[in-house]
This record gives sequence, C-alpha cells and structure tokens, in this order.
Amino acid sequence: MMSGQFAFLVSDYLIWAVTLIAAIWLLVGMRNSQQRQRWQMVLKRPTAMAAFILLMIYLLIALIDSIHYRPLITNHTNSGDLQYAASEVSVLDQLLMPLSQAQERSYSAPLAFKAFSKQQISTSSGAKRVYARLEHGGTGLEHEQDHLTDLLTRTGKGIGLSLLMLTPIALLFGYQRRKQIHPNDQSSEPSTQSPSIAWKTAAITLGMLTTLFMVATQLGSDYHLLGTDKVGQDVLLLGLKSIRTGILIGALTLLIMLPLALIMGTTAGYFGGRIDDLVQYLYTTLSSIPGVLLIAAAVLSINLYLDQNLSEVITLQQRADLRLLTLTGILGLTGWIGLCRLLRAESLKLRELDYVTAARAFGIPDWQILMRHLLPNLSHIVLITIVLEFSGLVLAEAVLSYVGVGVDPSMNSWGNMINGARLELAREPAVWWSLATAFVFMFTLVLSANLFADAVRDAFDPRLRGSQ
Amino acid sequence: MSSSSQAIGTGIPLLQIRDLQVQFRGANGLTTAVERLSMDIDPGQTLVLLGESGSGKSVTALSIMGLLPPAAVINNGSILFNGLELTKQSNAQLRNIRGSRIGIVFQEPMTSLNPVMTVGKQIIEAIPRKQNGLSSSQVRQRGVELLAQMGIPEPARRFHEFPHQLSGGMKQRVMIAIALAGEPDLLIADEPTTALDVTTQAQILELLKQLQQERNMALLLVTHDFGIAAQMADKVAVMRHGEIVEAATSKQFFSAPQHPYSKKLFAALPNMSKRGQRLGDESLTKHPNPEPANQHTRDSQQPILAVTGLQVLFQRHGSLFKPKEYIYAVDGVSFNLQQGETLAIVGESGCGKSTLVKSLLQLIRANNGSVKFRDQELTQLTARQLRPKRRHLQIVFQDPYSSLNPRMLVRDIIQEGMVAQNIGGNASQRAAIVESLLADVGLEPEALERYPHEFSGGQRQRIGIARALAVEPELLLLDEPTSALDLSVQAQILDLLATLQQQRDLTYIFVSHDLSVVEYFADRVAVMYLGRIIELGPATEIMTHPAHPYTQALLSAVPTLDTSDAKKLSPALPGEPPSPGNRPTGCHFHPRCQRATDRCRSEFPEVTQVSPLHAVNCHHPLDSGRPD
Repeated sequence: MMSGQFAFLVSDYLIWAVTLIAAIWLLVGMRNSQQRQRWQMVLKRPTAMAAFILLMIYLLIALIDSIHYRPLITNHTNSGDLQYAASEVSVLDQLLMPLSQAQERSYSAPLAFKAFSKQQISTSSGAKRVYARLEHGGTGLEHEQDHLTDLLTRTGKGIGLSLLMLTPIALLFGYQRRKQIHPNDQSSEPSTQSPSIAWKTAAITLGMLTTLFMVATQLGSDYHLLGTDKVGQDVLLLGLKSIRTGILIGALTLLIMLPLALIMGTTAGYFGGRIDDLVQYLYTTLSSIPGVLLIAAAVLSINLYLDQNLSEVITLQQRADLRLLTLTGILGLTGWIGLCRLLRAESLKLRELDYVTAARAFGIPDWQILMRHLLPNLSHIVLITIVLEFSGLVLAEAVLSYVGVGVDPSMNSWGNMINGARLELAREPAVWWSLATAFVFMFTLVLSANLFADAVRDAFDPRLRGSQ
Repeated sequence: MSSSSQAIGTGIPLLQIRDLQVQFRGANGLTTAVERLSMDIDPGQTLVLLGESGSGKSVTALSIMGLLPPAAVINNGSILFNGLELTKQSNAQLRNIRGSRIGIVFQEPMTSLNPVMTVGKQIIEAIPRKQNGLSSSQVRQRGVELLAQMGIPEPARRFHEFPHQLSGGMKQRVMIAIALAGEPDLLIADEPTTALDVTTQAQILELLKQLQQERNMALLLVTHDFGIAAQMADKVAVMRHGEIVEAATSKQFFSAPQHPYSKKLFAALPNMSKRGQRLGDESLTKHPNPEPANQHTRDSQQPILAVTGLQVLFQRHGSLFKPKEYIYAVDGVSFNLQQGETLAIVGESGCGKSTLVKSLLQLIRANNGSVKFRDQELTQLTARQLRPKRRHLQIVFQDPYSSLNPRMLVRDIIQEGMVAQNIGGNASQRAAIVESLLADVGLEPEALERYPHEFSGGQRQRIGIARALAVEPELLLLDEPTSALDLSVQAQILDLLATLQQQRDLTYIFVSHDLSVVEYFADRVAVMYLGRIIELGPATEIMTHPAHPYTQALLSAVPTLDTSDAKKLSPALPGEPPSPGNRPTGCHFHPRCQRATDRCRSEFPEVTQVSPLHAVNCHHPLDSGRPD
C-alpha cells in the first residue's frame, strides 16, 4: 500500500464526527434495558434487518471514502524531500484503483467487450469505421462468440467461490443454533414470547451480498460490470463514489436542520405569544421565497466568492468539498420549515395535556418540561421526518445538480450522473446504464432508510406498542 | 337468564337475537367480545343494555346494524329482525335496512356529523326518496319538519347551518333526526347523552321518549348510567364480559336485582344515603368514620384557603377594526376552605370549573382578586417565589390517559415532583417513599418499572393520585377524577380518596358534573354558572333544599333510580347555557329562569344567606332553600 500524508477534508471531519456521536449515543442508550429491548424489536423484523445491513454497508463505503490522504509520489530527484501528490485520494479510491485505471475511450455497455459506438480505425487498407475492442473489457476473449460462455463461466465461478466460502460458515452456525434451540426435544416450538433477532434474514442478506460481491469481482476483473460513461470511466466506480455525496448531503443537512426546527418549533408551540409570532414570521417569510431560487442565489454567490478569494489556496477537491458544505448548509437553512411547523403544532397540542400541567404544578422549570415531556413525545415525528427528509434530500441533490446549482460538477454524485444521462437517453440507441446505476444505488438507499425507519417508529412509539 | 326475557315479550318480537357470538381477530388469535347473547325487543318497547366499558354493549348494537369492524366475525347465533335473518344479509341488502328500518344514534355528536355539509343536506341524505317518490322540495320540506319535531327552534334557518354553528345538544337532536328520517321501526341509541351536560341530557332523553311514543318505535338504548336506565327502560339487560348476566323488567331489576354483579354495581352507586360508607369491596380497605374527625373543630380554625373576588379573563384577540373582547371565565369567585374539608364545585361544561382550578394553582394567573393559602397571598408571587409553594397545592386530572407522560416509567412519573421540590433527600430515600406511596394507592411495587400504557384507567388514576401525593400536599384539587371511569372503578377511587383524606388530613376541592358523586362525597358544594358561584353551602342542604332555581333545575335533571310512573323526568331546563363570551346582563341565569323579573335582567344579585352556612346569589331564592 502506498504511503502518504493524511489530508482530511472538512466534510470528512464532519461525517466522522456525526457517526461517532451517533454511535456513542446508541451505545449509551443500550445500557438502558428498555432501549435495548426496543432496538431488539427493530431488528426482530426481517425487512428492518435487511435494510439495516444495507444502510450499514452504505455508511461503511461512505466512511472509507472519507479518509483522504495525499499519496507519496515516488520522487526522481534524489534530494531526499518527500513529495506528495497535489490532490487528495481516499482509501476507497485506493481500493477501487483497478476500476479507475481501467479507462476506456468512451461509452461501452455493461459487460461489453466492444465499444458502444463505431470508431475510425486506419488500417493498411484504408480508414474503416468499426466497433473497436475495449482496452479493459473482455481482453481474455480470443473469439467473439466466446463472450457469453465467458460471462457464464465467470458468474458460475463467482457463485461457486461464494458457496465454498459460505457453506462451512452456514453449517457451523446452523449446527450451533439447533443445539441452542432444541437441546433434546424437537416438539417445542421456537420461542415465541421472547423476541429473537432476525439472524436468519441477516445471514441470508449477507450471504446474498457476498455472492453478489464475488460475482462482481469475477466479472469485473475483465469487464465493466455496469459499462462506462462518456469519457470511459467505469460507471460502477461512479456509483460507488457517489454514495459518500448522497450520505453527506442527507446527514449534514439534517444536522443543520434538526436543531433549528427543534428549538424553534418546540419553543414557539410551548411558550406561544411573542416567540410564536417571531418564529411564525420567520418561517412564513422564508417559505414565501421560492426554495430553488434561494438555493441557487446562495450557491452561485458562494461559488463566486470561492473563485475570487480562495482559488489559489485550496485544491480542486477542497473547493468541491466546500461547495458541498455550503449546499448542505443552505438546504438545512431552508429545509427546517416543514419540520418546525409540525413540531410547533404538536407542541401546541402537548402543552395542553394534563401531564404537562402536572409538571407545571410541580414548579418544574420550563426547559426541563421541554426536555422531559415534550421532546420525547415528539421524537417519533422527528424520526419520521428525518427519514423522509433524508430520502428527499438525496433526491433533491439530483434536481439541484440538474438545474446546475448542486454539487460541483467534478464531484461524483447521483445527481451529476442523472444530469449527464439527459443527453445519453436522447441518443439512439440510448445509453441507459448511467441512469440505471444512479437509480439503483439511490433507490436501495432510500428504500432501506424508509423500511428501517418504519420499524424504528413501530418500536419506539409507545402508542403503537400499546396496541400490539 | 334469556328465558326470562323471552317470557316478557308478548306476541312476535321485532328483534330477536339468539346465541350471538362475536369475536375479534387479533395478534393473539380470537378474542370474544360477545357470547351466548339472546334478547328480544317488542315493537314500541325500550330495552336498555347496561354495562361497564368493554362489556360488549356497543359491539352488540353494531352487530345488529351489520356495522362491525372488519376484524370482527359473527361466529354463531342469529339476529332476526321482523323475521329477517340479518347475519345472512349481503351488504347491499343491509343498506336497505339501515336507516329505513333500523336507525342508529352514536355517542359523540361532534364527530358524527360531517363538518363541511349543512345540517339540511345531511338529513336529506337519509330520507329515502325513491320509495316515497318525493320531489326535492318535498324532501326539503320533510327535513325541516323533522328538525321541528326534534324541538329545534327556527328549523328553517337551522336547516341551512353547518354543524359547528350548533351546540352539542342541537347536534345530537340533528343526529336523531337523521336516524329517524327513514321512519325506522327500531332505533339504536349508543350512549346518546354521555357527551352532553345533565340538563341537555334530560332534554334529549325526554325527546327520545316522546318520539318513541308518537311512532310506536322500539328503542335499544346502550348506556352505563343506571339513572338513565331507570328512566327509560321497559326491560333491562346487564352485560358483563360479553354476556348478559341479568335480564329483567325495569321494575323487577331496580327493586330487586338478582345477579351478584348487578348487586355489586348497585352498591357502587354513590348517593347521599351512602355518605361516609364504602362503595367498593369493604374487605379491602378499612371503614372510615362516618363523620370526619375534624368536623367540629373546623369553624374555629383559620381557613387553609381563602379566595376573594377571583376573576380570570380571557382575551379574544382584537384587531385594528375590532376592539378587544373579554371572556369572563371566572368572575368574582369567593370562598373559604377549612382543613380536612371537601368542597365540591359543580356546574355544566363551560361554566369555568377547570379554569377556576387552574387559577387556584396559579397555572393561569388571575386578573383580579386574591388566593390566600395559609395567609400567603399566591396571586402576587413571581414564578420563582411560587415554586416552593407549589408543593402544598396539587392536582389530579380527569383523563387518566393524557395525564401521564407515555414515555416515562411510573417511577419517574411519581418521583418527578419530589425531585423538583427537593423532597425525600437522596435517591434511595426517595425510592423508599415512592414505594410506600404506591402501596398507599393500592398498586404493586412492580408497577414502578412499567410504562403508563400497561395500566388500566383506574390504575392510571391511582398513579396520578400517587404523583400528586408525592410532594406531600395539603390541598388536593380533584378535577373530575372519576368521570372517565367505570362505576365499579369509580367506587374504588372514591374509597381510596376518602381513606387518603383521613390518613393525611387532606383538604379536597372536588370538581364534578356528576351530582350523585358530589352528594356522596362532598362536605360543601359550590354551584357555578357562567364563571360565578351562584350557590354555596353544605352538601346535604343544597342537595335536598336548593335555593337557586338553577341548582334546582340541575338536580331535577339528574335521572334517578325511581322507576315509578309518578316520577317522570321533570320538565328540563329550557335552552342551552349561553357562552361566557356573551353573558346575559344582570343575573346570568335570567333567560332560562322561570322566576326572572326585571330586576334579574338588570342587576346581578348579591349574596343572600339562606341559612348560616348556605349562601345564594338570587333575587328570588326558592323557599325550599330555607330548611325548617
């Protein structure tokens, strides 16, 4: 592995910080037996388990992609000074090096061995327009008709390898489980009253993902699994690199939005009066400005500022990173309104409830009432909104990139991929794989988040638990 | 039991239910809601289904209408209506029977009407015009007639109004009009007056009776109220756990109930003759003294609470063009309270009872007047100064479901006030206090580590009482503590409150609209009307010899257990209580008062002492107010 110098971007720090805070908060919460039971209830549900695993894999990829460093350049001068590359590379880039180095000239379809469009080739007998062979696709093929056989062999090999790996593990665990559940008698039903975590689903999901991974590596070693884009980059690589952007936009925007919405919504609803007037004035004013316009104006003016003042000091990647951060900031500043309204309305309702009156009759300070009686009873609203907004933000990024005020064009994002697909779909035959890849990656993330949140809400909302 | 009900019916019954079983599909398999239910209703007869919540009364009513929720299944039994087997009918066939042959009125008039449709349209919807071949103007005519028959003044105008423009009683009248639009042979009324005030309830019950006689209609009345049953029923069927445990004619039932469960319910009914006695199971708690021990020392003591001229105004937001309006929620309220005493505050909804309670607790700050707790003026204190005083006055709420934070453990709920008021020293000492408190209110120690939703309504109310007692208050404000509870649970809670009062020398302010509880439980009674106390005196005296015409009307509107024909529902108080935002001049009661004179219309009456302890605000107090 190449050595280098760590060069974390601002967003790297933020995403790691958010992850660590969330992890610590979860671990502390787990000490409470009630909390632990509820999370067990979440993971009891098979769909939630599968969604959880997918989310974790997305998060893992985003985190790996958030360790940036400047690789050491093997210096030809013998001065002894270490020289580092001018641009940051992430660990994920390093891992995916084979993909990024397998550069083609232009479009190629998934698993193709020839280019997507004809190329001018000059031979001894003159110039010809042919479908050229790819440089990194199907290089092992001697005859063109072997293509399908080769694909099938590789797929089979991938499945075989994964089976070889998984079967012993599966057998081992299956044996142990059987020993635990049925020590002697076969008649006893699997324990119904104690919620058992959906390990089976977890195992199946992980097994399927492993198989997918093995097949992908087998096929990917000599093919572009999801084709290449206009400049010949591997689309799978683009899709994977976009994960970080998606997660960042979702998580950091929420980080800005949540405190704003929580503080303004609950205080406005609970205290009423002048504070309520002020908050209402704020959000009605903000929401009467078209959101996209506001975002566009802010992004454009900040870009101008970056170009004029900082272009000397920072690298291209740092610039793209700052642009991403400003985008999340602006999305956060415009996005709190919806949640704030919901929280205000709910707080208005909650403050009239008898247990809040009881707390006031005890002389409990207002901020404690807010923390103890209002916030916990608002948490399901916050949770549901987080997930909907998260999905919405991942999707909003695509729209904003389309308008041209999204993330930096040099940055990998599903939005940029979809934006590029505008022209690709107009071709005949259409280039569909960029769009399809962005769609599948986005869809998986959004769907997993939604499914997981459903289970979390069911487990954490006491009113729902009461009805079960 | 069903054999006896068969014997009562003469001729062919209109409705005949045999061995009905209704079950609900749930996560834990089937749960039975109604079992082995058999009953008959003859034409023109009134059958009252009497029972506590969850006994299967409403399910029975809904299964007759074919309106059971999708999770419910009728497994067994038959429902014969005029010889037609209802359980075998398709939905389309049932639709023809609903409305035109069987009408239904639900409990909640606020949600039973569509808020975006005029009252008239909703009535017209229910008039079967195809059968009768009516033109649209005739149908409208019929709708207005129906409203008039329901005793709604100015029916032609009301016809075009929206539900929110009507009062609760009016809405229920409209609901009855809709149910009767198809001229059904059977009317099912599912707790039709539970959401209404007692004077309105009397009006509605009277209306139902009158309509039934006019139309020779059978009535199936579902209720939990023994008084209503006694007033309305020809036959009574008592339900428990989905079964009819006793069925008898009204006279038999109310003179000599047979089943132990019926007897237990009768024992749990509070009334004046049971003052000082236990209502619930006597073996559980020890018998209190018939008279509170401190009764005789009372007058010599300084009052624990002295309220003078308390006034709470709500501001209706004015605008540039409209001057600010004030709503007199509480106006000129004065009373003294002695240690160990129970003062009941009674009145219809909207009379300012709850606002008064909150302003005593300084949760709503009064605009005028003074509240002195042991010579300490509370109204002038800042929030910070008030904080240490708050432990002396605590409150128990009506709704056991909204009064406990669903996200907190019972332990934390009870401890919360102790922590805030710094009571009980360290955490382990506090834990010990909490456990003994829990025992005092009759709950197991395991309850501490559970959440409120795992408890029943009565248990929640016990938790609410324990929470209030945790800060060792001297004065407990009970805001309708039993009105959301079943009769037998109410008895337990009232017993508990009596025991606690004795043990801890507590002073109670007991807010209620249920006069039978008040006459059982209170030492003194304050009657409120539109924010003012209009009569104040010893409970026994006010309940037997009211001096104010309003008090008298309230008392006579309460349905009693007397089933003799002589005791008809007395003429109810006409009209509805006016809104506190628009109070009549002079004596606020004069528009509804038969004794009103010009003087009543112009000046509010000063306090008149009817007897040394009995005061009334009336220019023409009733003679009966002066005991001989």
